[in-house]
Amino acid sequence: MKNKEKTIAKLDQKVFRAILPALVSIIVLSIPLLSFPQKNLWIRIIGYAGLYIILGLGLLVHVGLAGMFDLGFAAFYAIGAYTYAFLASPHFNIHLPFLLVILIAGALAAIVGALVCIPVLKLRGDYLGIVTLGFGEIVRMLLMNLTDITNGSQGIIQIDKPVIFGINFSNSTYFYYFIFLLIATLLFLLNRVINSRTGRAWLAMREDEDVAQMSGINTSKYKMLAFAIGAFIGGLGGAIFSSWQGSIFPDNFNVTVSINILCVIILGGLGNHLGVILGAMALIALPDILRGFSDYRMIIFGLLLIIMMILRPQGFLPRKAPQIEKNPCSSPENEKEVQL
Amino acid sequence: MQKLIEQLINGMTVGSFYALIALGYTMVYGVLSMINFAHGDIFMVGAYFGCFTITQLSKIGYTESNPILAIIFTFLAGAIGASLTGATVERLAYRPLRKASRLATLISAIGVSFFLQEFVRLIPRFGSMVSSIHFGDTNLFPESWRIAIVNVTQIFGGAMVKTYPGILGTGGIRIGEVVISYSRILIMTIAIAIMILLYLLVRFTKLGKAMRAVSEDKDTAALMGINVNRIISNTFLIGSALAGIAGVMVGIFYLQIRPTMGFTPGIKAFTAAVVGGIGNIPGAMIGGYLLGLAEVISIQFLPAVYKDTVAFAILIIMLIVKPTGILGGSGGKNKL
Amino acid sequence: MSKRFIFVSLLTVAMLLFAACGGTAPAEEAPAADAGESVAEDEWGYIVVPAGEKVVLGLSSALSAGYAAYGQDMLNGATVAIQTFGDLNGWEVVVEGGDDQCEGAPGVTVAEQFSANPYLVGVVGPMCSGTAIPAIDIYAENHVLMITPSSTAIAVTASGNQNIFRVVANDDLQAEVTVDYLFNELGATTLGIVHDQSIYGQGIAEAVKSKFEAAGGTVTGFEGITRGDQDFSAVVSIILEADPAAIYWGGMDAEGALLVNQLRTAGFEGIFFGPDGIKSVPSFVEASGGAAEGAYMTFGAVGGATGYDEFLEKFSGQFGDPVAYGPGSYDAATIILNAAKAVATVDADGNLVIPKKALADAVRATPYDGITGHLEFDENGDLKVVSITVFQAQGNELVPVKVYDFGQ
Repeated sequence: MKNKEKTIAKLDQKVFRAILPALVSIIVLSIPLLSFPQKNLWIRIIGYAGLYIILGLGLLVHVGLAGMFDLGFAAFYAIGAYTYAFLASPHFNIHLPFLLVILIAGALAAIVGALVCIPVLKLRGDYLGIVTLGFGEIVRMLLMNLTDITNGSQGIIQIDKPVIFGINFSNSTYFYYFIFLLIATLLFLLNRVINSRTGRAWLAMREDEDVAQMSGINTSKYKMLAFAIGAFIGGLGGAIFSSWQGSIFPDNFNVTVSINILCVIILGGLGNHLGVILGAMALIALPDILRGFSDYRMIIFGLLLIIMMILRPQGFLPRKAPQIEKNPCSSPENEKEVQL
Repeated sequence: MQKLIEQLINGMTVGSFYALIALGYTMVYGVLSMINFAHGDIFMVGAYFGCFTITQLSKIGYTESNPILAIIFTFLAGAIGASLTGATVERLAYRPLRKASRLATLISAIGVSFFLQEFVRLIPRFGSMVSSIHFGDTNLFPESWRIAIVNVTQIFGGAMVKTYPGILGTGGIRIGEVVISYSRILIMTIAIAIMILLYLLVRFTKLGKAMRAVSEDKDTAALMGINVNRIISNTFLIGSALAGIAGVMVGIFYLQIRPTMGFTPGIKAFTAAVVGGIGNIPGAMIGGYLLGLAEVISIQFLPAVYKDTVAFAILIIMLIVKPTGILGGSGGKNKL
Repeated sequence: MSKRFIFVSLLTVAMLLFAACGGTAPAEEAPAADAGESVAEDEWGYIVVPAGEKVVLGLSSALSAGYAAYGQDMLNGATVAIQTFGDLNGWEVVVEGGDDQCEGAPGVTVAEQFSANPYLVGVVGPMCSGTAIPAIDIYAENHVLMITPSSTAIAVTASGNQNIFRVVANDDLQAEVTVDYLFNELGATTLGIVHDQSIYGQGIAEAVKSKFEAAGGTVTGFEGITRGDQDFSAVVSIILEADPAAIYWGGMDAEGALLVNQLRTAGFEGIFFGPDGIKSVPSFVEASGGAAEGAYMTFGAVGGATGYDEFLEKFSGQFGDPVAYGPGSYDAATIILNAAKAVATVDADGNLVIPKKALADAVRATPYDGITGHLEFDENGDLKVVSITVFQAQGNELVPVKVYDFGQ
């Protein structure tokens, strides 16, 4: 009995944790190099999934790492997107370079994130979810109704295409790789943060906020940090979306988008950033794979969500509970890195 | 002054919708600690059941001859259709996830929401598919059945907007300078009557007591001999019926229904429930009316387009200042 | 963990370099020349459809939710067009509907999907001006032929793109007709205006406002509502305060029906006037609960010209009465297919080849007598000759009461 369980656990470990993400990465990266019908469409679809990976990573910081239920993440996405549109389009006739603007967009979103966090520091769980939902909707409505600044429902069009070091990146293939390079960078940086003091503080807060506070962790500071970092990533994603699509509308940032991003990380398992990759692929690529059924896409998608939750509610790559050391004074080789 | 009264009545009318839907949210949250994201779509399903009924009734002239009975049937259809849908959803999509994390139920609810919207939209398509099932050359259904299936599904759902035949007309009662339209009177009366009934049910009946017990502590209630599953199903039945009635009201009042109509009212009603204190039934009623009135009052000071923004802003301020809601509730502290 | 990421990022960089050194996508190369014929270089590229594949005609409109009555009608019109046209030099033609929901964001997605389709010959639509304007950027970038039967905002043909056409009168003319009829025929001198804040609705509302004031009338109010909303009681009470003789609605059927109903319930007895967006029996007249009785509207591309009866027979047999843009969609689709037939060749590999610029030029250069009238384009893609009809809702019908002709 025990052997079987062990083998299954090992298989689960090997397959889901190691091989699947690697496989997906290899497939994803080699797509533009192969030749098959409707290739350009697929590059766009998977690139779009890549965008959702970025957004998913941002939300993961809020929900998965810091344990803060955020239902309005699209607000940061929107701030990033509109910042880019303001600074790099005919709208105000400002045309700043791509790399500079995406960083500004991210920074602005981060500042807003930190500010928003302040009044809601003591809210938890569902209430925090509602408030963030409200915030997301307020941002969208402001974008819709402050027509003098944002052009309202008509959106902003003819946004500058990305140009990095003189190379025009609007070619789908280049941009595709740029997005995945960015993802790799973000994954790397996030991993560093998670294994740092900040990451451990978040872990403690997520497990039991009261105990964490009593242990001397300044939960307010770490919450704001989490919100700012997550928002930064969201803003970055928004700026990239803006320049990629070339036009943005308030409707691109509604509650459904926030929910989609949440679905990405929940499908992926909430704990593992590699899970986000799988979640995004599933959520974005799936409806488009189903496009053969075109009109029945969404209904099949809804059914799949339900079935997926019933069959594997913990998501593709669930968070592993932190291991309790048998011997706290053990040697370094026995110490496990914090697996999330 | 006259305008103010008119607007207040508007606010009470809209508040009735929010209150009825909010009750469903709050009841389900009470027994399951779960936000039923698909509740707004149950509201939509009720509206469609009602629309179908009243369209058929008006075709055979029933709405001319017996308008009051016709309206009653319409509401019944909406309530029953919605409650059956809600109970089915609970059984199939939520019960298996009782032991799973709350986020898993949330995702499942989102899946249900998409499913319901799309299902209603695609019903005519399904109808023609079903009616043309055949084995070789012979059809499964006889001709008359096939025509019936297609007709019924054509009328019931579809991508386009459906209209409630206008049975109440555009008249109303005059009190001084103010005209209160028949539809507003109908809506407010029914809403208040139902809420009183619900309150009596929860306070004084055995079922109500059991519901309150399950809300307090599910496991202890089970130990006391309460069939928790049955109570939860009943909660869904009742909550969904309320939403269905609200759906029919909205159809009668605004004349138009569409598959996506549940979304915004759903979110607003949910915030109303939270403002009143989630899990708290009188709280949901008060929250609904407060939200309706707040929306209407805000129009006096801000451009009308900011109506929805104001609703959310109030919500946020409310939660920051008094997070447990006005009457206090059971939620908000639950971890993910 | 970190080792894997270094690996992934290195791999990505490697791929990037590889792609940079690699060739361009094959679809952009010129196809094999037909034996004995030299294929002139087309600066926009080619549509290459192999034997056995189907030629796709794209249709971008609202196929779900509020404005679906119009969108489905357009799809039906294009479907009948293909049935009438037959095949394209032996290649079967199919229509593919893209649901743009009359919004900018989905419209852009649909535009991208259509543009990425290698077998797409052209697009009928988008239905709404607010969808068309951002989508045009994408269609222009990809040199996709686009003919819209219903996007009436001026900006649609103002971009200077050579692949954009419209087979309907623009809003400037609609506004002119509206003001003339209101002022001269109906004698209305005070006008309240409500619009839906869209490029189309607000655009035509502003055009009506400026023309009405220029004619000497007074605009007593100018209010906006949000599309998708159902409760307009606030706006209704504001606009009725000044007691205008007429109210102009700049927007579509779904909100128009609700608005006219709520206006009448509030006691408004004056004239209700709207643009082509409300010309619909099912979704405006019937949906208004009787309140639309007597309302006026302008409309550009009515049927009734050459071949209309045959079209109507085919159309109503399958889909019932055309709602509004069905005939226009039919004409747009037919123009695209006619032009394709004219410039298409078959290459040495048996592929159907359509040069894109030649296609657009053929559309511009070829006058066509369609079921909505004589269709001939100017350099901007607008019609040279156009007529606008004023309709009135009487009972369950829309009765034409006056026709205005332009350009003749």
